[in-house]
Amino acid sequence: MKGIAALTGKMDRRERILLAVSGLLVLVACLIPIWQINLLSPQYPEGLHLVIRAQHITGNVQSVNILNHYIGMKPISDAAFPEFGWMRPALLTVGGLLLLIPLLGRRELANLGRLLLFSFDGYMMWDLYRWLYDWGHNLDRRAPITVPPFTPPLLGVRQIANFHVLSIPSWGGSSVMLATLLGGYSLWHAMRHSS
Amino acid sequence: MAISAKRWLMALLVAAAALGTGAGCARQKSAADEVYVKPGDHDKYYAFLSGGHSGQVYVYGIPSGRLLNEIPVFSPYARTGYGFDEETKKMMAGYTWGDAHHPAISETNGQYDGRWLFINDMPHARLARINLSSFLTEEITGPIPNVSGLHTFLLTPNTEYALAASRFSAPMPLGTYQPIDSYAKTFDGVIAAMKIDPKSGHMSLDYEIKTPPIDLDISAAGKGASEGWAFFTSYNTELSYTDMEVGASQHDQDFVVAVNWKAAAQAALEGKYTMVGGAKVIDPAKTPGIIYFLPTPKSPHGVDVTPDGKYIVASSKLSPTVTVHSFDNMMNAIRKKDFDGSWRGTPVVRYKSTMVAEVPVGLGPLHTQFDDKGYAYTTLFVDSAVVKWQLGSWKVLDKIPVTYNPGHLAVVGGDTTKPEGKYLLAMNKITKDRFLGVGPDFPTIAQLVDITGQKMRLLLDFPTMGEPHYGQIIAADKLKPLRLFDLAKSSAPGVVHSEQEAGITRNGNKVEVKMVAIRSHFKPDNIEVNQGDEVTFHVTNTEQDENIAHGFALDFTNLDIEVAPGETKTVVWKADKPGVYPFYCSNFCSALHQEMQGYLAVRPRK
Repeated sequence: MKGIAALTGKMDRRERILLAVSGLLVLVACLIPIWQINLLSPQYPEGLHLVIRAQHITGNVQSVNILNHYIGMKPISDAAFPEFGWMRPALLTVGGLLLLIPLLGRRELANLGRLLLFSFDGYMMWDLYRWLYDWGHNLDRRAPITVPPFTPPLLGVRQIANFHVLSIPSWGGSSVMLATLLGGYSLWHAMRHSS
Repeated sequence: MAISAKRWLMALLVAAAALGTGAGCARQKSAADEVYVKPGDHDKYYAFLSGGHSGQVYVYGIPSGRLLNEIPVFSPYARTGYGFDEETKKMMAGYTWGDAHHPAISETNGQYDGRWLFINDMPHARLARINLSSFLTEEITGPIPNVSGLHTFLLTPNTEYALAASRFSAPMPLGTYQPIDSYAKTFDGVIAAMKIDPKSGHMSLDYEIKTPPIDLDISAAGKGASEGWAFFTSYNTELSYTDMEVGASQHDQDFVVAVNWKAAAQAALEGKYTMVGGAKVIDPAKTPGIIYFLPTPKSPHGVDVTPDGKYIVASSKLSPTVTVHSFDNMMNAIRKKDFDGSWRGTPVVRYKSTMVAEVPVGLGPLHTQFDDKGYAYTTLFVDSAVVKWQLGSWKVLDKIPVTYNPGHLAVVGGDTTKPEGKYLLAMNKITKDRFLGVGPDFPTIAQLVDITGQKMRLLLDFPTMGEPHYGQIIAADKLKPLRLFDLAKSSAPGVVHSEQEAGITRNGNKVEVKMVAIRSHFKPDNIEVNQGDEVTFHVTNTEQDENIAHGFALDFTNLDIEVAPGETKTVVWKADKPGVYPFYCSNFCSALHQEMQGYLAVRPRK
């Protein structure tokens, strides 16, 4: 079975390149905005923007917090998210390993690397969803305006009160997504081209 | 055959004429289309019009004529708390009004640079400087020593100086008593040179030039060919001091006063002055070469210099002409000492030598502006019209009625070396029937006139606030208005950068409240003080979201301020009477604006 053979043996040239590029793409995400949430409303035609980077959240954080406090949402701050403490080391580790593995050239390691990448990706998406759920559900009951609990969109658009909320990956998130696709493609390539 | 050929020709001509008319109509937009700025779109120009004895400056959009803002300068303004907070109170120095006359945008190389707008207060001899990024008054200086009735001032082409003159001569230093009937002997006028710091815009008195007690009226800076000179009209060479409407109208000629301000600055440097009232006053009778008199018919009012700086155009209020003096001719006459004697120690340059035209414009000419095509436009107060005439040929070409009694007029870039021949704004004194009635105090009126064609065309009437004396029109893209104050960079007295820093501190009977205003609360919002305390509120709007201003009004105290995002304002209040004083946000800010309130309790003295 060719597929099983892809689990062991030496990586070929193309597989190495694919995995190395995937590692680079993960590393790049350390430096650039990863995710962004845009809020549009009649009185904010230019939009309010939240930009998630590896170590902090930027954009119109104060303005969004001022609006959110009316419905009892917790203030958004770097300190509220432990992820900002470990996201950069995690990206560096995953990206670094994916760069290192092609040098060693073993498929066993390559597969471990892919597993790490896929689980990291999956975990981060779940983690973001978890926070969005938490922020939209744990509302202060004493808030001036009562809204039914909600989950802001993980990916895509949702209308929340007067705000049209759009959540999309930024360059960094896109870069990690592309890295994941390349990781998958390298596995498919390995399965097709193993002896 | 002959007849039908003729008919054929006729038909052709008619068709051609119809086509021509049609094409003409298609080319010219209707007046409504010219001035209509559709909802959400912006005007192309800012017009800054002075508000006369309202003491303020008003900002309009052109061509729509929409009033965009009122900039408080010399009078308190409750809407923003101007004159209520400590900083602006200090700047106003106890005055509660001014007569704001002739706004001037700062210039670089003879072009509006859009940094500052300067404006004078006539009765208190003050000059103010408005920052054209924040649209806030940043500086008021004066009363300037020895200047009495600061009706006119000009900016030099690189904003080196503001030259300000006395319209009402008085014994110097001001505060000196002299019997009024000793006017000719004991009264003096001055032209004061305020040096302007090129970085900060700060004004400081450099020198003054003494003049005879004539009434210096309007002024214009030399530019281009005449850079380094300044020109002031005058009336009352009769030296009349009572029944002046008759007394000051007797002479057939008064003077345009030509001032070599660079020579004067040099003389001041060389110490050729005496100190009077704290000012270095140069006496031109003792230091020749600084001022010259150009005889000009009948109480000239406006004086304007052509964009190339070659001609000085003075409007003779009491004669139906504008007089054009050639700068080159003036310089030649000065070189050749082609004088008609001197008056009070100042050479009077021979009229025939400098005058190149007396343009018969009509009755009551007051002010002139120029376009970029060699045409001049003069307001006729008595004729209620604006007249268009040509430089060089000195021919009158067109006249358009305006309603009524125009004073100043302004074109885009009116004071610069490159005016734009697009619009002309006539600022009329009398409104009469032009708007719905609003009681016996009528608004004033501005009229926008299209000057792109051979014939002038009236486009729009709009009401003006106060009484505009002159205006400045500048392309909108030359200004970069501030959107909010950067709180992180603020070092205003008492500023707090977050709610954690807000609080109350006491020092003896002085209580300092560092207060945050943010949607939709104040912090602190419950304050207790003792009767007799002096309470200082530093209110910081910690928002960094544009357009979210908060107010702070303390009931029953006559205190109210508006604080823009990132701004801090300070008010001081003496807690004389015990009781509970509510305070609230006086500027609608948010859905919970009503709840943005608090209490200040004053405990009675034991």
